[in-house]
Amino acid sequence: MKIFQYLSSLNQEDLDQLYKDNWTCQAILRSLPPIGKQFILKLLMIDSIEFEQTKIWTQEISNQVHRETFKKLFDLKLLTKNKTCIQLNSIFQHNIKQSLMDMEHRVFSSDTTVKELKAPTIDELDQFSKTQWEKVLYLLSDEKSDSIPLISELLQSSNLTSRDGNGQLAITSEGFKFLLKDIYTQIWTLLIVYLDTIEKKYKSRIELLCFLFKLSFLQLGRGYLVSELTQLQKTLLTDLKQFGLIYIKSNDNPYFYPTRLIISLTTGKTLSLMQDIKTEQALSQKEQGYIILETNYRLYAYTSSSLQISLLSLFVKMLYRLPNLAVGIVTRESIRMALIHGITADQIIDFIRHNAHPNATLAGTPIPDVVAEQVKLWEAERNCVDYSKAVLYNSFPTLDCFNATVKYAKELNLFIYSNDSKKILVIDESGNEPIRNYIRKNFG
Amino acid sequence: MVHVFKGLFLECDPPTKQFLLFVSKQEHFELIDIDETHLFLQGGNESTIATIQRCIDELQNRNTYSVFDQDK
Repeated sequence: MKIFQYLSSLNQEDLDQLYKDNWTCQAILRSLPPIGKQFILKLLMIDSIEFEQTKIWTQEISNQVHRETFKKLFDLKLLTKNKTCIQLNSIFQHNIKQSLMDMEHRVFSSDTTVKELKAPTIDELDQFSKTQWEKVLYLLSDEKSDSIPLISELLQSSNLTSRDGNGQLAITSEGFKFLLKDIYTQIWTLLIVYLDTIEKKYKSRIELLCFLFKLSFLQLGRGYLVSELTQLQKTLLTDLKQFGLIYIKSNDNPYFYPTRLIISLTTGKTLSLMQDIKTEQALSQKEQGYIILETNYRLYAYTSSSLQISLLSLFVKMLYRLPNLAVGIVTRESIRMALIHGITADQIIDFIRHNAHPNATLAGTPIPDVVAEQVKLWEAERNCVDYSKAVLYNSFPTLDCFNATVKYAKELNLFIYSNDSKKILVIDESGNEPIRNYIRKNFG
Repeated sequence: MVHVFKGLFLECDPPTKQFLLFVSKQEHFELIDIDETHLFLQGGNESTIATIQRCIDELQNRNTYSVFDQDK
């Protein structure tokens, strides 16, 4: 998961600071892969163990997983190695023990006695977070909208969009890859950039990380008191609202409501235990693909979302739009525009395959071969000249001199090309000095 | 004595190579003709390669005929 990469990049002090928070420890524990959880729990009640002994924890065939898991735990500084022994990070260990014993612990007290008059329902919260996050994604694909300054700034500093020659914001190839990822990876990507900007401004990245982890333990559909938060957390709250992670009706409202997005942020799944499976299925139904691409390059998108249509218009020439359907055509020109933006043919093909309409997938080919091939050809014709910085040698006095130099260049791994009949040798740019010296010394 | 040239080593298909030779006369590039598919651009840098890319792009645009053009 994205967040683990980020945490692994932090240094020991920062992580120790982070592990001082009880909820963070729990959040990290529960987002570890099952085998990681098992290792942690095995070590929880013992002080230290010989590293050799851990080998019997897994069967030999899963050696690979075993090693990877340990590497991950070491990277997160959850485990420390002392000569041949390993032990849990003592702060982390203490906190997990603590939380096991104390079941009554609450993140924030939710005041259920004073019912707010118009508390949002779960559906409303879902709707809010969905539209809010769509707005964020919409900023990626639509150059003109500058409606959420914070987000568009984040998108720029994370290189997902960049200003082109005319000062217009445009999606980059990174941005396109970003759109292909699942929503939690997307949120984390932006949150991590956000944390970095916060770190520059307030020097309080750790506190905010803890806060984020804490929020993921809240219950969906419950209101929590804003007044219990610190000043800094309140600032964060308004920013998180723009991501659709938190819902507050207005700035002076005493309650804030977590949305499904923040609650399942650390588990990485849409599944939350309180919800029945049926709603989950209904949710995932909605997320299904919508694109049908025909062999005549016509593309039908069964969607009413402006976001999806504006994404498609990055590489499809849209022709008409009906209430639940948009029709477009893949042309050389439209693909070329996408390629100029740095989007690759493979990304386009992946995108279509990823979002193909179920019926298109059933028929066997979500994207017709002829179209896929053509898109690749269009890309290839833009890169028909390969070039590399190089140094060329010619007019070698003798064939021996030429052959010896070629051999020497090959030994040094600088060789690019040679032509025996014309006695031409091309080597990498960096190799000019050694080759020149070699020729001067032996044949000069 | 051995001659040394710095620049860019280009690799492309034979028609493109001929086109590049043609372009080099117009734009006054110093091209060394190596073989059917290889050229050496003396003193080449990012901006010359950009010019070359642009010329190729224009050529390809001229030679593209789309059925969908009639739809417009």
